[in-house]
Amino acid sequence: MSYLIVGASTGLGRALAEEYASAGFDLVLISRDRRDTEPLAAHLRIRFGIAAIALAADLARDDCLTGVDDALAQVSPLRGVLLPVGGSDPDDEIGLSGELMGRLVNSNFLNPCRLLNVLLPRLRGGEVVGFGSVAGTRGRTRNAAYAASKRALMTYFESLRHWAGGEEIAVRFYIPGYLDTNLAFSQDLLFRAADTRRFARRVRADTGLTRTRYFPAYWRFIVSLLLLLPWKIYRRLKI
Amino acid sequence: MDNGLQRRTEFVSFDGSIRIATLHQRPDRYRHLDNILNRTLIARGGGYAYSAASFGANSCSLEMTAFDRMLNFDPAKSTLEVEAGARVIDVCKWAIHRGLQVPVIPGYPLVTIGGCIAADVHGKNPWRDGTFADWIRAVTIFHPDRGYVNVTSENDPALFEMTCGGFGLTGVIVSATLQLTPLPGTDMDLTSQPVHTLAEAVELLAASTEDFCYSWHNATPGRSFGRGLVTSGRWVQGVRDDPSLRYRPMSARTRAVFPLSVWNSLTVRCANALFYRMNGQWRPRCRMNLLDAAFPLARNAAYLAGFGRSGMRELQIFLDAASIGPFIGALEHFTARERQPLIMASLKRFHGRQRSLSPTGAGYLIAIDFLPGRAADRLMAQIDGLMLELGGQPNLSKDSRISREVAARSIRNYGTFAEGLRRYDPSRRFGSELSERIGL
Repeated sequence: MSYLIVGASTGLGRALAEEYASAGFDLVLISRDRRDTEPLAAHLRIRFGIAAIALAADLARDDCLTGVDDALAQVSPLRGVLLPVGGSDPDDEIGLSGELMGRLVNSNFLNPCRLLNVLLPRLRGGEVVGFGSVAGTRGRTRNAAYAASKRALMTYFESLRHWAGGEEIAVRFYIPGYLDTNLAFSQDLLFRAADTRRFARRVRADTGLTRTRYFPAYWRFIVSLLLLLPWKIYRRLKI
Repeated sequence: MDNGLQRRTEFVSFDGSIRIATLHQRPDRYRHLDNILNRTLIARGGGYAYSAASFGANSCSLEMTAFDRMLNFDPAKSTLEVEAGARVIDVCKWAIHRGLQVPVIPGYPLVTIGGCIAADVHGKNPWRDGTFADWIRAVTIFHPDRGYVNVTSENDPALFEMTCGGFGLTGVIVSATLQLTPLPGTDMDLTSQPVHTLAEAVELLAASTEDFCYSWHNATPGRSFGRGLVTSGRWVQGVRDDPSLRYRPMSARTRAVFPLSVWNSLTVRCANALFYRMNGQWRPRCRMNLLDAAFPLARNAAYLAGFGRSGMRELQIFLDAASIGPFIGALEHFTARERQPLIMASLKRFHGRQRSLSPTGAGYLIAIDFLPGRAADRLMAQIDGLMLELGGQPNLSKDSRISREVAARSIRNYGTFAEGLRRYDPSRRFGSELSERIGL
């Protein structure tokens, strides 16, 4: 069986690729820059003896799906799609340009959903895993477009779960807090960034389940508190 | 990579003697290297050099640990191309499963391949196996002004030799092709033979035909100075279960977690006496899996952690066969005069060809550990003088205080390396505290 991972080159995507490869699954790894996914695919082939195919694809383009089809034809049947994809931008503030806003919404919401919609018919008996962000639980002073698109993705996955019940597809959605990625590396964080490898182990351990889950789990408590806060207090936190 | 992906980090050398807060980046994509900062840079691996070879007040440290993938394996030639951030333990474990080994392994498992190349590290039998650079077939280095360059000893021998043992001053080592060799077995039979003096150990090392051989000595002043063990290892033919290595990973920061050192004149003497009895008298022979035998520092982490925040000082000096005897004699004399609590010494027999800044050749490498302090500084200065007098060379990766003058006079390739670096990289894009201190 195989998995398709979008955004596989670094961070959580790479950790997921190593976790699933160590369990013997074939992989199709998608990212924008083949220079990152090609070495990863080679590494997984050498290290774990699986079939791993690197694919450079811009999911905003319709023709990218041809490459995905070709890659999937070279590996064992598709078992699941993992979407640890997206990105933020330091200029993501209220008043950002339409172009930047479009880019953020595309990479965090539209592109993964478009790809997913195409692949869903092949996933009967399989699973779909999406990744949001705690940033999307309540409006913040910054990262407005990023947070809004992650929120949209979460809502889309809820709808997907309604639909997938009849299609025998497990739909999971994770809401991670700070992760030890390059994004968190340069920031002063309130909480310690979680290890992406541990997160990847959690994701694989949940295989077949349909649920929404925070990682690390204590973020559920923090988010619940934030949602309970009256606006007058919340706005003073300047989160 | 001036895109907000950097932070300031306080780095500490593994011996605890140098602490510098400086710019730190952790590239994890090739485009991060393409868009690198326009300032002095230095690559960083695991951070296990005792000297500040991977950071400096005027440098941005590029932590390359995300570049740790295996890129190509050629079973016919037994060569493995691997990214520079790969850790030695991971490559070793992978190789063992294929009946192969990395012929030269440093003493700590989390050292990276790039670090091994940059410091041209040695293993447990440099007399037979040479140094790490002897097993490198190619390196790919990245220089902001030159891009990615694949360097071999054939296509650019000068740059290849400057890079192996060049402490990252020619560029960021991105990947390397390693020559692996057949693995004789997964276990080693170890024998520890007691000796009374360092000179006695030199004789045993010179006569040894074992698969690996090194010595450990008590170096505290007094009658037992030089008493020690010569440990020889021989492969046990055949492969058994997966060898495992149990250890608690340690970094320069976690090594220094205790605020005070537990080592002093009394505790050092007691620990040395216990170590001598345990390994020399109570258990002179044992069978050990190859990972336990190859990574003694992983098993003896308490020794390093015991130095606490103030750390330790270490000197490693390479001397030819004619000079090792006079050096040992003078060392004993200095130690008795200063009453300085040296802790331990060790010896390895060497053979090899010197490439750049790391010492090798036909002779012996003596390592000496000190408790830090003014007496240690005085003694180390005296040892520097002795080293210059006898034509010895320092191991820069272990020496966090050697001066420009001593380095220039003792390192045989210093002049040619400096000249080669000026020609290759006139803008000098790479530098560290170490390179600044020794004037490179």
